[in-house]
Amino acid sequence: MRVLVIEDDPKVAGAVKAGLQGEGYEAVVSSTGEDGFFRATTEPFDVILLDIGLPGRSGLEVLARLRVRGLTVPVLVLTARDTVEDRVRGLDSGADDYLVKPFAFAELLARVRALLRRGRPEEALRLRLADLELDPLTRSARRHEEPIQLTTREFELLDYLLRHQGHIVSREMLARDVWKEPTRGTPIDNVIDVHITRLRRKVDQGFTPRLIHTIRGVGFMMKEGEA
Amino acid sequence: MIRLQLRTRLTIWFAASVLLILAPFLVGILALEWRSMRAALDHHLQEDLEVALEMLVSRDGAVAWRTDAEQDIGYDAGAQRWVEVYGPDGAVRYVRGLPVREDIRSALEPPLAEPMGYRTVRTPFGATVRTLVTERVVNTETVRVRVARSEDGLRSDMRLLSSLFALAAPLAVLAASLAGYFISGRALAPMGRMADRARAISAEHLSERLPVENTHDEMGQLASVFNDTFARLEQSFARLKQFTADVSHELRTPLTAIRSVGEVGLREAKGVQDYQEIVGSMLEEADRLSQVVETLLTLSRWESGRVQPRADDVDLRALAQDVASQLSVLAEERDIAIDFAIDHSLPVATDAVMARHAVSNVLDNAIKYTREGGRIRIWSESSRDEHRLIIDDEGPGIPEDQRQRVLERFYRIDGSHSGRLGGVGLGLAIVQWALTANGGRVRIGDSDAGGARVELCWPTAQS
Repeated sequence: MRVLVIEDDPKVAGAVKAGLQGEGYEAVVSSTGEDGFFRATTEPFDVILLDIGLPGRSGLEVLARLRVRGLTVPVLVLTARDTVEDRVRGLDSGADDYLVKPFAFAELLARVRALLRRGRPEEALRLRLADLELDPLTRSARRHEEPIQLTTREFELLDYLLRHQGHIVSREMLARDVWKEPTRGTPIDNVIDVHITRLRRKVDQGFTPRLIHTIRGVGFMMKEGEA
Repeated sequence: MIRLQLRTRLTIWFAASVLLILAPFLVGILALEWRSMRAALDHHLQEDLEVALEMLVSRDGAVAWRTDAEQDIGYDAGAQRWVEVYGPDGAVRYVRGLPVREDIRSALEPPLAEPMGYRTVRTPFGATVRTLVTERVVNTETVRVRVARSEDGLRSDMRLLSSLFALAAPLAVLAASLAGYFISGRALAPMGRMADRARAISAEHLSERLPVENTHDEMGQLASVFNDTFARLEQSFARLKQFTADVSHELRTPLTAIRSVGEVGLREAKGVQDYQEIVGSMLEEADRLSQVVETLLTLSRWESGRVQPRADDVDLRALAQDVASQLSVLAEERDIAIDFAIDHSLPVATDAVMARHAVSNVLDNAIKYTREGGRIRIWSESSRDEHRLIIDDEGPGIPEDQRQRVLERFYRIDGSHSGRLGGVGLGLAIVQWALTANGGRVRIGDSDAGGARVELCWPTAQS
């Protein structure tokens, strides 16, 4: 999987590149719109990350020209501005998704995965990790063949974590995707923490290995073994 | 176009209006004077003629003058006047009068073809003569009698008067201009002083005010209006200063934490475990930082009016119930019971996202401050104009003198910044804005249980 990162800030670009490589992607960095446009039109990429605050040519312009050229590669726009007009303008120019700076890296990875997954069939209906099983159809969960009683919210939370197993899930992602909160405030963070604690009590207490891990300052991850 | 000073313009207008009034007035006086002097002259001519006719007698069958002397024909000595009597043949028979300037008299045509009545004749020497001609039959002879008086005296009087007026009018206009210049200068002087003062008032000296000399005249009112504006500007500048100070404090604290954790960590950390702790702690601070920025951006977007609140149909009961059930886990953790006592819908028109923000911030505060094992009551009151969503807690309450200030940004009751419990002190500011931007208001009081009571009041939906 090749990812083109068009980003002028060397620190951000470097971190994103390293992070993507850590996840097994091949990342290429372009620091100007011109260079990015050239690479995007001459080399094959699976996803493009585009900063629209670029010097020289505006990122949106690059995007529009790519689309005019007929390039269908998914583009994730990174922007420091988050007014509704900016988002609309981005999507209008042919972006597939946008992410507002500052963003959590886990969020960036989740969006990239979603763009790569696009158009492919949903994974197997039954979700499992080690001896934990979850069936979205019957809305039931079992660990070590023993049923676990979950509230609706806990079930949705576990479902989401399992679908992102092996990847970090940030609080923003949970607030937006599980709690459907359009904006993130302090109350929702505390609510998420309480739910995670309860879920951990039900899923992990008395079992090995631990499956729900807290990554301090970043979010949560479901994984067999230590995070 | 030339732009003149207001003072100069006023003066010009002043002078022009004086001239406009004075000119017809003077012309009118001249005309009237001319008419009345002319009438007097004509009257004298009439009298001269009557005397002359009395003097005509018939002697030896011919027309004769009663006396032979070249005498005066009447009473009024001085001005030139004379009487001539012409025979039917056109020859002059008698000339009487004093003094007669023969050159002038002989320059006049004999009055044979002339119509009867008054006439003004200009002679080649520049003299003007007023004449009156009539016919008289004496015996069988028809004679023509012409009396004449010089009009020069009258004309020179008129000229004198005209030149007097011509001299006086510009003087009057000049005087009016000077007065106008002086008066408008006096009237505009406060304006100049105001302008000087206003120029000196800048962002740094906003506490200065314009001088108000008389609160009842227009200048005074203008100055008062300006002063009010300056006062408002000063207030917003002061708020902005406080806000900037608060923001920098709020941003600096996490930044300092990130730096010191990083620096100390680099010096002292031993293993991977330590580094994970350090980086995690730094990330937490970064997260806090971005939450402050995000909240501030939300607030400023609302305040700047760039985002207009939507008028969604919102049922406050459903909203409150939803928020309460979402936050109920937080209450459970602290063994707090939430008593939800609203049994009918409360329809209001408000921005749903803002309303949700407001309710969840207030309830979150209530949960934070209520003593463990306590109780929170959510209920409502409705009047004709508004629905009030009321949240009572069993916390320490909010002192009366701080109830307004807690709604301001960054204000915290204990006065300390960055307390773990209090968050960043923006929650209630958000609540305040969410309500006022949608036509509502926030009231803070005491709950029956001794804690705080927060009332969120929305105007009832117009159906």
